[in-house]
Amino acid sequence: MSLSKTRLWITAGAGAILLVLALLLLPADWLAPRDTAIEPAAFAQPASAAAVAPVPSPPDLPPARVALGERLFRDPRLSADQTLACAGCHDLARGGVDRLPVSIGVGGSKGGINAPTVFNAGLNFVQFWDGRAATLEEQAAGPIHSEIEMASDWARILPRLKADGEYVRDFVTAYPDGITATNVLDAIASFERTLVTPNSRFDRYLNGESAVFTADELEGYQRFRDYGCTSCHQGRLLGANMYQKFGAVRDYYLHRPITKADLGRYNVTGRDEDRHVFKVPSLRNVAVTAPYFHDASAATLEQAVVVMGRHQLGRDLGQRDVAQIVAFLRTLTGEWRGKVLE
Amino acid sequence: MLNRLTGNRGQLLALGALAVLLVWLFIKAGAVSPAEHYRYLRDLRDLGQADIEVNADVLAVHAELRLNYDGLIAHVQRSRDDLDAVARIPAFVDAETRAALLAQVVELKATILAKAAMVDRFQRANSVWRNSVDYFPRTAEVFLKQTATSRLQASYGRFIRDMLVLSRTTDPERVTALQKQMSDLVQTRVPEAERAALEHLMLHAGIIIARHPELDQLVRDIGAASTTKHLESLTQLYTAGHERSQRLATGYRLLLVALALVLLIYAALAYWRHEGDRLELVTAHRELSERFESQRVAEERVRLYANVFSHAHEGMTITDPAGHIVAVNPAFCGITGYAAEEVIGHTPALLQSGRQDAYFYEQMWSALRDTGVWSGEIWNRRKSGEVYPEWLSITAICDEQGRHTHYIGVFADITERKEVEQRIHFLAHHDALTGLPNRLLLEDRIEQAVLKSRRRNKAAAVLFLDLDHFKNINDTLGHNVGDQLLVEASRRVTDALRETDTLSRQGGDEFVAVLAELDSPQDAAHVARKLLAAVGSPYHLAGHELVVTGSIGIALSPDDGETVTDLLRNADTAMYRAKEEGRNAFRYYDSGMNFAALGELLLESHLRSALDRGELLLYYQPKVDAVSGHLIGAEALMRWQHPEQGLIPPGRFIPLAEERGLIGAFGAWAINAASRQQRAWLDAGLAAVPVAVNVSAQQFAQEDVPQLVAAALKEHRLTPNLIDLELTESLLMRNAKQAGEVLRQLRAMQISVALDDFGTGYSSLSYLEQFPVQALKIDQSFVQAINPDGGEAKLIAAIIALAHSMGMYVIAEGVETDTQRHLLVRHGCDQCQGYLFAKPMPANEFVDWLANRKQPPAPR
Repeated sequence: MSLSKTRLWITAGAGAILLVLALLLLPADWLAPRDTAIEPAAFAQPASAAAVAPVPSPPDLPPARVALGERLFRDPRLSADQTLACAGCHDLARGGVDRLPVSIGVGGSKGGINAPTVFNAGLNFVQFWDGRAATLEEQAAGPIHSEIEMASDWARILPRLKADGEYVRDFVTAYPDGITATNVLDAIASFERTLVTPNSRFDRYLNGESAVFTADELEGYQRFRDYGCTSCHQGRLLGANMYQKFGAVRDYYLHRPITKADLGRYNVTGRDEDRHVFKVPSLRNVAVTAPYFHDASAATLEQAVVVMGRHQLGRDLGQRDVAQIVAFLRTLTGEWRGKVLE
Repeated sequence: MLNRLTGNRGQLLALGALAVLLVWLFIKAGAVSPAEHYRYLRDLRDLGQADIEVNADVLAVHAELRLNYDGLIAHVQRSRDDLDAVARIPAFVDAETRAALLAQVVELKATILAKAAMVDRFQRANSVWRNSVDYFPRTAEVFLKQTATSRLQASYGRFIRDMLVLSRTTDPERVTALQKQMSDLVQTRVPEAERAALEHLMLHAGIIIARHPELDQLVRDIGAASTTKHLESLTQLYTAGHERSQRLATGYRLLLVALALVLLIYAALAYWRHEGDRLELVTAHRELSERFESQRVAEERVRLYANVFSHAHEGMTITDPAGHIVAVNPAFCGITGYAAEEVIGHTPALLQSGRQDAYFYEQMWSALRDTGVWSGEIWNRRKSGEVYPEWLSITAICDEQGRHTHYIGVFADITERKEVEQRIHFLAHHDALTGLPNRLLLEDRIEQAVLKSRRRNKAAAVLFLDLDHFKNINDTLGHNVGDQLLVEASRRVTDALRETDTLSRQGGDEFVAVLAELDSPQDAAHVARKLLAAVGSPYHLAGHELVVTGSIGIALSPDDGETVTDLLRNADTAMYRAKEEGRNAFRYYDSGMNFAALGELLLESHLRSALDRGELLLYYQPKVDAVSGHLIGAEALMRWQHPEQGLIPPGRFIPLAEERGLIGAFGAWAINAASRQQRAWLDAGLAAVPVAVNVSAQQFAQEDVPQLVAAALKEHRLTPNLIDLELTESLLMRNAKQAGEVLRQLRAMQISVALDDFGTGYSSLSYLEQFPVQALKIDQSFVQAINPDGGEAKLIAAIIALAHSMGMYVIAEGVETDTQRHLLVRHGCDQCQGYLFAKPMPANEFVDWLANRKQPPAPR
């Protein structure tokens, strides 16, 4: 008798479960919020109405990936002959650049354009002078494959990395699928996104420490704004959020032959209006990233400021103006890992 | 098997299909993921929001409400990212909608990219324009200072004013007018000193004039970009598609619920059916168990019956209603000699011996028809041809309607029993030694002869023959020779008699011949003479030639008496006359003999007073255990101490006492005397053994024997086990009913009764069962018939076995030799009595005998 009772309960239980299942399915769209309040767009205003703003703090990224990215960034095995790391041209001890007019790739090959700094690159709206990479990941793949830079490819790199037990271990820790091209790029990009340089004297000034500026610097900042530099060099990076024609007001190439690099964004879009158009570079840390311009034509800030005034602003700046503006530009050097860049 | 397998496979497939259907319905019903839906709606709204933000940013930047592009760029980037999200169309929308959505997304993307490009152009243009707009007033100021006195001031002043106003307007006509103004001014000659300032002024004015409409256009275009329209149609398309999917999913859900309900109902039905089946099964199982158990019990019983059938000693026959044999058991085959297959199908008539007539069988069948049972003795014939008796019981087996379906016949071969009975009967009526009728049969023959002769009006004669001096032969030549002589003599006498005559041996050397239907009394004399001659011829026995003569007394009926007793006594008297008158002669019993028998009369008168004068005595003869020889009891035997004739044996005075009505008193005295003696022995400290007192037939019939015994026991303070009674067999037969009653009383009193002289009366074994007696005494004639080679062993064995089977013990009388004792012991005889152990003795001698008898003789 107890057996049949047990069976009765089992049957009843199974029936009840079926019924509950069915009832759960039936009102699925009654139970679910019919009109989920759409979260107010997470559009925190990224910038104030002012022309400039302080550099934000570095983003909080998975430390394992960041650490792995740094190692890869400094690892010459990513190049064809295992001699050149990313850090070879983007020396973090030298403002994130090589301070050469053009970089020297594997086998001594020379590049066609001045290497931009890697500092704050994550905050740039696009990568490369001509903006041909939308993200750091895309950017990182560029030099690796470039014949005149690292001249490498994944077929060569990945086995090298996989042969390294430490990499294998750390990759598995950081990524579920271990060592892949995507993960290598992601790790490098993650590291690069941490290369933010806050706490420059300018930022401190913006944050209310007016005493950190000398009179000249203050004057320089005033002129920087008054002369229209902030038309393009605005935002938190003082640039790096728009394109502009090099020679917007006065032709820059009038007295010299035009190289392919000079064509700028035209090389990407093919549109005439993009001829000589370049990403407006950020002026953050500009004091430690000479020489200047895509063609490295300005060895000093003074020269660069003069060129800018003439060709972009259509005005010829006096010596005093230049000196004061340069003084201001030197306040833009920020800190990385607690140390001011050199 | 194959069908079942296919059936199972079909069911499995159906179940599998159902499971797949359920899972499919479940997936379908849940396909319209609300989370995915809201994600997509949010993405759509985000995209719209970002797009609007871009428009707002552009306006803000253009209106110098915001001085950096960070926000704008972020929103452009956001709209791009949102576009990617919007391109990820939820999986639940149908293919048609998806295609339409994708097409719309492609258009939207083109629009957004175009808008981004416009934003890019706007940024560049705006920066340059903004720079010029900011710088123009300063340039103008410098220029105006330098040309304060110049004629140019007027025309340029107006131009500059118009320019400054322009920056705050969007009127295209004004732009056109300014362009004209500017081209007019450019053609104006300007002094060298003022050219540089003018150039600066005109450069920025040119930029402002050129960029102003462009920027206005860009801002308008950006604001008017069809992104919103595309987004709206995208949203509408998606919403419609979602609703369709939602309706479909609801349909699936309803289907799923319906199916689940159907399954639930099915499960419930299946459960109830299963439960019902289970209960039925339980009931069926119980019934089956019960049936199985009863079947088992029945089988057990059948096996038992079969065992009974096969192992019974009785033959069994089963026939159909027509009497055809259906089955027989092994005992049947053993008894009849037929194998089963030889009789099955035949009727039991196969076995008929022909001894029973047709009437017998009619009776049998009639009884079977009426009562269903019949039993009786029947003679059948074995296969060997031998005819044998059997005790047959037939029972009819009936069906529900009462019709006979079978007959069962059970029979026992009673050949052996018959033989024993016949032999016992023969022995009972014949002399063991000579085979002649004994006294019992003789009495019958005498009665018959008397009756027969009277009917024919003729005489009958009783001749009493006694051999003269026969005791001498026994004493000198031994019993063996004596016995041989007796046998030879009886043969000669028989030969001398007619067929119709009877010769009987009375015991010892006494013979009686009965002659019926004599024409004259002289015929008896003639026969007597012939007999004397036959007896008197010499005998050649054991190397001796012996001559023996005889003496004959003749009594005639009806002259000398008509009763057996009278005739025998008279013949005996006549015989004594013959002996007295010289032997080897015969005498008639006549008046003279009556006179001569006066001695007997005197004896009779003495007998009457014998009791009063205390002339009666009791002698005691020991009864011993047949095996060990230990004393077990004693028989009290009456003796008459006659003052003149000396000790007279009972054979001479007991019949006289019976005849004269004294026997009752004598019997009572014997019981009393034996009791008194027992008391005396007990008082003397002697170990008491039971003493058996003989009760005569007359006494048994007339006196209240149980009362007598009870009184004696009471008077002498004895326990019942100390007094036994011995009755003769013939006594019981005369009045069986009364005898049975008295015996039951005695048994109730715990008085042990032994049947005396067994084998000499009308012993019917079946009759014995009616009488509760405790012991059987084998008559000494049987015991003495035991010769050294054990010839009579079979009969004695049969008697002993019979007695034991009826719960009696057996005492052998007249044991005289070790051979006899040995044989008796071997056949299980319990007690012995006879000269081998001790003769009857007076009480005082009995005590001495017991005292002197240290070691009882063990059987050799």
